[in-house]
Amino acid sequence: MTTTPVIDARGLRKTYGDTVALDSLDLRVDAGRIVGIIGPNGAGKTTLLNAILGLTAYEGELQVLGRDPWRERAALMHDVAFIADVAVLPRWIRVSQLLDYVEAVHPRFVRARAESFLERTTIRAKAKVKELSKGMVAQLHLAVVMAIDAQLLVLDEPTLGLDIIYRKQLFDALLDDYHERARTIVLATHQVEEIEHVVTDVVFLDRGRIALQATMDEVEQRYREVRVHPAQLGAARELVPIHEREALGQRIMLFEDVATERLAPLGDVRTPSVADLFIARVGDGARRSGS
Amino acid sequence: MRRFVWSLKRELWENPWVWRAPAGIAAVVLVGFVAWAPGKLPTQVAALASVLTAHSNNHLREPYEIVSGVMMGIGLLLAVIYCVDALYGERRDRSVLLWKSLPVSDLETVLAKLSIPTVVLPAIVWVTTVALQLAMLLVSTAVLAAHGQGAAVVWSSSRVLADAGPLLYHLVALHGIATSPIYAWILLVSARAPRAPLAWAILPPVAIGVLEKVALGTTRFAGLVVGRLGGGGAPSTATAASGSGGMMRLMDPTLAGLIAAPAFWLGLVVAAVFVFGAVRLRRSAQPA
Repeated sequence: MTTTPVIDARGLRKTYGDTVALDSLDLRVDAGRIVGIIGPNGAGKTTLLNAILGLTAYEGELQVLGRDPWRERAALMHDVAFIADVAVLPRWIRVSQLLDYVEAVHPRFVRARAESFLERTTIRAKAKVKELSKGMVAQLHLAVVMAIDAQLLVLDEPTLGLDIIYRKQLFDALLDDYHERARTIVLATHQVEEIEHVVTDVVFLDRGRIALQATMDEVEQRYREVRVHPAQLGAARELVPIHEREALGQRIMLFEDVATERLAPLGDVRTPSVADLFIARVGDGARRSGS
Repeated sequence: MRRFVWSLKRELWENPWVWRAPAGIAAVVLVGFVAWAPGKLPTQVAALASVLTAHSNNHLREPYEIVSGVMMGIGLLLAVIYCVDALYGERRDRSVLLWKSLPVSDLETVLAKLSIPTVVLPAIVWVTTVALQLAMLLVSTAVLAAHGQGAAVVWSSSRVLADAGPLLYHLVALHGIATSPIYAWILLVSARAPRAPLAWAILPPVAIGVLEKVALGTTRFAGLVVGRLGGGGAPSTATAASGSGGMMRLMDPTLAGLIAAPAFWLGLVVAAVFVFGAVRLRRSAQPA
């Protein structure tokens, strides 16, 4: 049985003059997943999210929760919550005013949930946003977004400019919320390590194209990293690694769809980190080898 | 409707000067009147008491009409200032990304913003003007009482209560709704200007005016714009015989005259086109 995807993009394309931001991209996100969209600066992450959120026009087909986001943004926002940037709360607004306004215009906003989140912080209801630190503003925005019973939560670089404590709190809150409500979460970042243990799926974006889309289970099954014994270098290269690098005097090779049994005699085998896989598929090494 | 009302409320939170500025200016004017009245008013009333004519009535009414005119001017100025920043400000501080994450349409947002100069500000100016005029009357009553004089002549001459209704009509219908093409134009510019929206709002009409003057030797476009800003949405229906009292001027053109004037409806169509454009531009608006 096939289920209706939360996000279904086919041939999605967006250009700015001669610059191609999204290049005929196909993407499917099913319900209940936490998808990390990872790419270097300028890869098209924000453009993709803006298209998904109805913030920018595009060519091709795109359905989000069965709606056309560009034509039906306001209706779509009943079921989608997003943080486009941690610095978009207006400086003049009071915390209580923000809660009042969102409560008034959003039928799925549960104020008690936001207040409960804020009680665990030092943010006062009467404070204006301009009186809060950047981390506190991020907490406030997160409290508002988490209190919306949305089917899809979209976060674009949610930790940009935040210190390690706030970053950890944000991802802890995100995971708590996910386990409580099992909604679909899409988050874009170029901080690969940060989301490695949070996401269920990864999408590598490179120059407007998808370089890899896989579940974390698939990553574990299909990719192996081997610290190759010097005597086995020739044999290892015969198995066509997708990436090769040197670290601490050792050659490290990354293989795709090669059985562990064939790799084990070559050296120490392990599952690569998402960061290593990202460099292999998107980084300079991949471009040189043309993979 | 609930979203629209709360969007209006949000505009007043963001721009509290929309009501604070008229209230502040009214307070300053009142202080000035309090300083002026004890020295001048009793003498003025005493001198006029023996010759109460239409002319002397006008003389006593003058301060109230001046106050009314000043507050109208302030209202127009504030309306223009508000429109210039209304859709530019949310792009400048990136808050447009927050507002667009909520289920409020671009049309609802733009209409809420247009309602500030067309309805809310005129209503605020009306409340502050009438309150100020009443306060002036109370001050006058107290000053005259202290000099053993009655204030009935001031109350009747000032026509504050009689003109309150016509003043509300004048502010909302003429300074608000009939001037909406200009406000909608500034909103349109505010939705798109990369920076300096005031310059972008002013320069094209000025260029058209200059072009018309050079090419045709006429100033019809400039007259049209200035006329709208002055509260003119239709040709005057007053006649020389109909008197020159405040109420007559406030009701010129009358509601019937306004509704019957093609220029009024043409203005609303132009405003609708600009609003449509502003909605389309906000739809794809990115932070400035």
